[in-house]
Amino acid sequence: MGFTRTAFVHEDRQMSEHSMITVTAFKWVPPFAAGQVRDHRVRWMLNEIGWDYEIDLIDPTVQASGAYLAEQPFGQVPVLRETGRPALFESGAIVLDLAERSGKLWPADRDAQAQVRSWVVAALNSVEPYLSNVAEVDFFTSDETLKNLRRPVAMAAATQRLGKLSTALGDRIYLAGGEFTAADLMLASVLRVAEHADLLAEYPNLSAYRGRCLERPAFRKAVADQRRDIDAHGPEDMGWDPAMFAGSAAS
Amino acid sequence: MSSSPLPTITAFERSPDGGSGLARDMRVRWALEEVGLPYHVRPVSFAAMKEPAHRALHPFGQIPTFEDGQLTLFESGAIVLHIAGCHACLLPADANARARAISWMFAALSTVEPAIVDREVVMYLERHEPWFAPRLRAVEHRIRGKLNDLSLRLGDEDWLDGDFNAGDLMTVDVLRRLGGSGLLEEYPNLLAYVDRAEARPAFRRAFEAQRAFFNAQVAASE
Repeated sequence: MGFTRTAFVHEDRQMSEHSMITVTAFKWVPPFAAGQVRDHRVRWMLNEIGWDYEIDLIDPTVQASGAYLAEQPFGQVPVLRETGRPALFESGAIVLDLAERSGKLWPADRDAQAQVRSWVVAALNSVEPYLSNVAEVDFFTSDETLKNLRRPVAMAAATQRLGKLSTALGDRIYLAGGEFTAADLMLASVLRVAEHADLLAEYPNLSAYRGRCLERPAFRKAVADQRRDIDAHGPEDMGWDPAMFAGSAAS
Repeated sequence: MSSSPLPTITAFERSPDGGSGLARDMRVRWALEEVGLPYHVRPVSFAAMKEPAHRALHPFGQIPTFEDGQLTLFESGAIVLHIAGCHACLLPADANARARAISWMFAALSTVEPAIVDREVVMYLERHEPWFAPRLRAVEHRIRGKLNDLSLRLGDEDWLDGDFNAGDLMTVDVLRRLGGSGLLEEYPNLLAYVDRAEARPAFRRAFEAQRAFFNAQVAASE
């Protein structure tokens, strides 16, 4: 028994004209997170496909509600709601689901499809945690002494991981099959985590790769839309005291 | 590229887990046992993992990898997803239920596992660092947050979303990494969930296979 059968074949590739798609996002996040929240990945993918969608902006009360936890067990965003389907969660799962069903950002070749799956998982499980740790040190460590001690360790671990990624990418334009795929969408999005720390500076091929992916109109629109939603709200819409964020006005 | 007609996975030549099934080849072995597919295991030394030959299979120089004919895969999550997608019993037949199961796989890999791996780093590498205690507290707080959500969701059910599927396999294998931390014991239904999964014949076969493999590697080097 070999692995020769086409996996994940769907008979009904075409979306119904009336099928409605909704993606959840936050009403507001602090300035350092604006444009970074993971719903931008799903907005980006849907923009690439050209499927219409609506955004459902939520707050911590909704996050903690039984109805939302039934859709997203960890109360996170994004959730993908679609007429006639169960809610999906996890940006990686949603992006793969959309790629396979639409055939967009999805190579025709089976081995290339498998490589795309590998890279989507790698971006989330083998790259993102290292970059998130740098962001965590910088944004969530309140003790300045410990922050200064630990920061070089987190930076070194992230840099080492990026070095391996740089070698793996080499001079390729995209990760799999020569065209922009869901794998590039996910990796380029992950490479924005801890953008403030300029970790890509010593890897010109990674910088160029990220730049190439992020100049796509579908990405620009996704992030602009997320920022617009956040700008239209404030901490009070999340039930938070604005005084807590007074020192971090949006730049 | 393997000349073997069987799929080939890679595993540590000498696993740092001492044969306790905590390395990530375990979840791939388990998935292969669940679908009943025989496989071949190729040991890779720590030195070989850094070499170009292995790097060509795995960009981060890790295990496991998966080779089947012309197809080569890396990342345990992607490998399990591939195995599950090609064989009926690890993903539901219904397309919608299958998409939910894949959501759970990603939740295990992207939402639950990173905090658990962070805890391992703190425990093994940062014990003597000045930030050890506050960092461990912060990481365990994150882990408890995820376990709490997971525990509430599982409730009295046997599995996360209907019958056992690849989402449970991945979640359980991630939770197994908390063994010895005492954290899982705070959530009796999660502890029972892991026990239930580990009692599956396919898990037992995979576990025994990795232990036998470890013991054989040790014996061969003595």
